[in-house]
Amino acid sequence: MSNLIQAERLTKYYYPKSDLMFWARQPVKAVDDLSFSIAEGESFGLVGESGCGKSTVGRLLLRLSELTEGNVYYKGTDLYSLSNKKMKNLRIKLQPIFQDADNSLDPRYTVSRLLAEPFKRCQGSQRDSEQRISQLLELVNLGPELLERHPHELSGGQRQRVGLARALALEPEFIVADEPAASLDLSVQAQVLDLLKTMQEGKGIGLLYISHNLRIVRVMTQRMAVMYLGKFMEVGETESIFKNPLHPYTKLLISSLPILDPSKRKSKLNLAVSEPPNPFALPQGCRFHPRCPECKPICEVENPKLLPIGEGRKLACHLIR
Amino acid sequence: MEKPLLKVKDLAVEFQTRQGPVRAANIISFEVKPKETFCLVGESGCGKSVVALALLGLLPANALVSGEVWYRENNLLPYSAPEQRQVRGREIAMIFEQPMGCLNPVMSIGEQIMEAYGVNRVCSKQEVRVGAKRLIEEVGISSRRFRDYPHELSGGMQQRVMIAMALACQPRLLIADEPTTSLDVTVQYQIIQLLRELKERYDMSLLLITHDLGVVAEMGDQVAVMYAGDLLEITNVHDFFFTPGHPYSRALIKVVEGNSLNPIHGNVPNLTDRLQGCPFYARCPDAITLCREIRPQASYINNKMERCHLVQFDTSRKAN
Repeated sequence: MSNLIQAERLTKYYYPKSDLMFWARQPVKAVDDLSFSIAEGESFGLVGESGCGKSTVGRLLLRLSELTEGNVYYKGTDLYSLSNKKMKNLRIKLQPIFQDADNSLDPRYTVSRLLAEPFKRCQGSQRDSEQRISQLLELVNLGPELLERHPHELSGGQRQRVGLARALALEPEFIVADEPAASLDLSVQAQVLDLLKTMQEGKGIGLLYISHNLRIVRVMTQRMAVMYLGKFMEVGETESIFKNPLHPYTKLLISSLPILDPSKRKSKLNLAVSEPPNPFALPQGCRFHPRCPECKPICEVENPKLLPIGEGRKLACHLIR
Repeated sequence: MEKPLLKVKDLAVEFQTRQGPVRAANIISFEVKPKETFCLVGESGCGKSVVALALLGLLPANALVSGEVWYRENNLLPYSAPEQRQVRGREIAMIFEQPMGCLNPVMSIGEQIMEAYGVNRVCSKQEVRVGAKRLIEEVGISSRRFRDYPHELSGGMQQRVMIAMALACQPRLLIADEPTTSLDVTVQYQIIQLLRELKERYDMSLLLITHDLGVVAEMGDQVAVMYAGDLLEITNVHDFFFTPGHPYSRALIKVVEGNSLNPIHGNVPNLTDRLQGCPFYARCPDAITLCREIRPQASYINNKMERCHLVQFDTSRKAN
């Protein structure tokens, strides 16, 4: 399998807006020096707590915001060296699905206009697009009676499916799905995810699936990365990470998942300092050490590198070498 | 048998809207016993929050509420506004999903807890301050943050402040409406732990409203499943996870269980259409013709309630 998307030393700093003490301004390191790749037809999961920079990674891979440093290659083409015009043409192949379908669909457009929009971009004939719209609707299990409705007349699940249809319209090769199901109800969530998974597997689309819901990532992805404050802590095959989490942070995430068995209620887990630190003032050494139950003196001084430990697994931790 | 702390009988809520009346809660009956965690489970729009708001008399003016809500010896529904205020906070307190929306952004959290603490007590300001500081420590926030404003706290801490305010008057019943939904898994787990601990310490009952079955498994004693304004099943938490009775409960468990996606097909019915039969009819895998025409009656077997035609026909189904 060749690489569909390759990110090298991906870095994004945000500078605070205030100009007070501008000489001493410290950036927020939202994404800090990440390198990884996603193969064709592969689904790659990105998990982490809110504010860890996972959505920023998704935006950077689609060139929806500018990089501070690093490169993103799509099939060997450096996205950030392309002119705007060339990038525009390439966007057909790179599509996002957002968490909030409410805000990503124009409230004044009807469903048919929303779905026709992508085709307008790539100069299809009018009749041709009408036919493709009806195919698309069928693909995402929506009835033709919805065509003349506006987004507010749809349910949350239907809206998210329209978003999915729009992303699939131009037959992309890479989709970034940023919490596409987080705002949906349980029963509807499974419907939308099932659809996304079938599409992704059926058409061999590369997928970056961003979520804080570990259970869904386990179902949806083949490989995954665990992210904490802009850095990857652990990368590997999804199943093997779930079966045998190695990094203390991964362990913390997996152990705080509720178990669906009332007789196995966890007694007390010690999670004393368990809120992420302020991203403006990252701790010295390993970013996770203030919350880490297995913290050693070296963790407070030296930042561990993400190193391969075999079987496609990579780990950033001093404890396991 | 222990006397229930809260007994809801035939509660119905109907909203008058421009599209016509909407039945948000359709003849709901349940009981919450002392020191029990009673979970009200269902998808958004099923009416679970409406039930909670109706208990406290917090519904807007276009809501028609009927039925009975017995809290200890009193029916709360006919209460006047000042009488309701005596109950709210002191006897029954509530916390909400979005703590930021419930906290006053221009008051320090200390002042807000003091306000809640002082409102039902006759004591000096100094005593109130001491009490509020004790509360804030009790929910796991250092009292150094007493003067912080809500925006300076993380979502988990804001929820802790809400809990402190709700506990200020030592209520007998705490209603928690999706208390962990907006939080990260790690923080969610801490809030679950905190609520469990405080429930023991304060001898409270907890009415937990959630759509997250993980939270139910961690905390619940009794589970009531709501769907489209109807209460479909009431059972204990163990049976809910291992031998769910109602087809909807079974489908819900299947969605979250295992490592595959098992969607429930179809959509939740629109509440403006008056449904004749069972609300789950259109999505139910086991539906029969009767389900479309007649709304099933509640049947009670061994302290459990189930509202399904299939149960009434075939009780042996439950045996296997």
